[in-house]
Amino acid sequence: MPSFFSNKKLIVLLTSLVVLIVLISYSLRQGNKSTWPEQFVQDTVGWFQYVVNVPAQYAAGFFQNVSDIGNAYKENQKLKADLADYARVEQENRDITQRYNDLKKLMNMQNSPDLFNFIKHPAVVIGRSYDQWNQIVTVDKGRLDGIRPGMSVIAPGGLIGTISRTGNFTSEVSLISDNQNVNQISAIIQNTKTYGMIEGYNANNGRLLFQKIPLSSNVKKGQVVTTSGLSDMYPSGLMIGTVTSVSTDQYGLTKAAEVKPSANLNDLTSVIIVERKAKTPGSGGTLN
Amino acid sequence: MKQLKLFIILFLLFLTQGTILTRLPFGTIWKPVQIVPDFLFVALLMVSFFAGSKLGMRYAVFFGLLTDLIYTSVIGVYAFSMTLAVYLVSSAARWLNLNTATVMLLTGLGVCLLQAEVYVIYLTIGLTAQQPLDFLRWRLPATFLLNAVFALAIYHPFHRFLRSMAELDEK
Repeated sequence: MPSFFSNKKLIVLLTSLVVLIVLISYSLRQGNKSTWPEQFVQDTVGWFQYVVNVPAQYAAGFFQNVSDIGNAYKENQKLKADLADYARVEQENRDITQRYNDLKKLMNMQNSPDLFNFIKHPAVVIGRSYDQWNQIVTVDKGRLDGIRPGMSVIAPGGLIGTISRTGNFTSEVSLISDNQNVNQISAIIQNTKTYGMIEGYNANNGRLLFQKIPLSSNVKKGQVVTTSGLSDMYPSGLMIGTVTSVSTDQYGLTKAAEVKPSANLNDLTSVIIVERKAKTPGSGGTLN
Repeated sequence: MKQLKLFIILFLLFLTQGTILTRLPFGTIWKPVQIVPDFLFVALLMVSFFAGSKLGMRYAVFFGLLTDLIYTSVIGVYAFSMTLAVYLVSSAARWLNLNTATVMLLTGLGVCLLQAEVYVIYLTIGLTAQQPLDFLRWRLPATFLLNAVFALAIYHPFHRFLRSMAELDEK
């Protein structure tokens, strides 16, 4: 098409293609570190996003309130029923904690932190990528609040993703539904000793792929999958989802299951960033 | 002054795309259908139609890069695709008589072109696993409609604004 591309324009196009490929390979290779121009842009835009979000949240909150009023009676009944149980459960919890700590002291383990212990950093979602290929959410806590890449992020339902990049005041969360989320999650089926790996997401039916489950294990539909705590950054016991179907993998060597995430990934407003207390060799600390 | 106003309008569109619009249930009401609001790009195309394709392309590079940094994990894809799409569509627009209908059609097609470019690049580097058939069937038609409707909604005020800006530049 001579009218579209003259010689000079063709050269410009080819040069920009080369620049594009260089940039892509740079950002695919670079991993978790973000350079200062990236951080600067991320923080500046993050501030504006925060400002835009305030009225948006008010509006969303208003509609939420209106629909909540309809459910108020039913919810109240249920809460009353739960409240009757609450005192008993709390007492039980206190007893068990006490016993657990005593036993730990007995075994001289009181100084080694547990795999399920973590510090919570609450954060508010201020932005989200709008093309549905990138599943990235921006939150309003960053490096200065103690957030580091690799920390896991949970929402009211359960695990939703990992911190992928941090600026000074904002950070990016790569959701478990993101295709680039190469962080595999070591998972376990609750109350069993069946371990496996969460490796990928099927966007068509919204299910996580739970793979490398031993062939001899007895995986059933409806079982709850949580993090195992054996991987680098995830504390143990974070809820991931429930098993919806079980099959064998393509080589017939292990079982594979599909897991429905327990957190609603489409409606994220406030999340909790989880900092695991137990150090791992990989995260730069020393084992006790 | 007008330039600053234009920049602010485009930046606001860029922000709303990632904040307010993602709270609306575009993608979730009807599961397989993906509707992508690309309102910033619709505005960029109109800038290139009515205020010169050079200006449109300059803004496309800037906002493409910003999109890459804020909303994606790979730098450069949107900057390249947006600039190329603005160039191609504004060259095609020179052959047409621009009125409401053609602008609607061109912006809708332009958004689809941008989606296709980004899709091909993402597919090659493994950032998306969407099947080509799903992309054509579920993503493009709905996205085309939404963005064409948005183009219709902003056509008259935005057109007048850009015309007055172009006249100011000529003086």
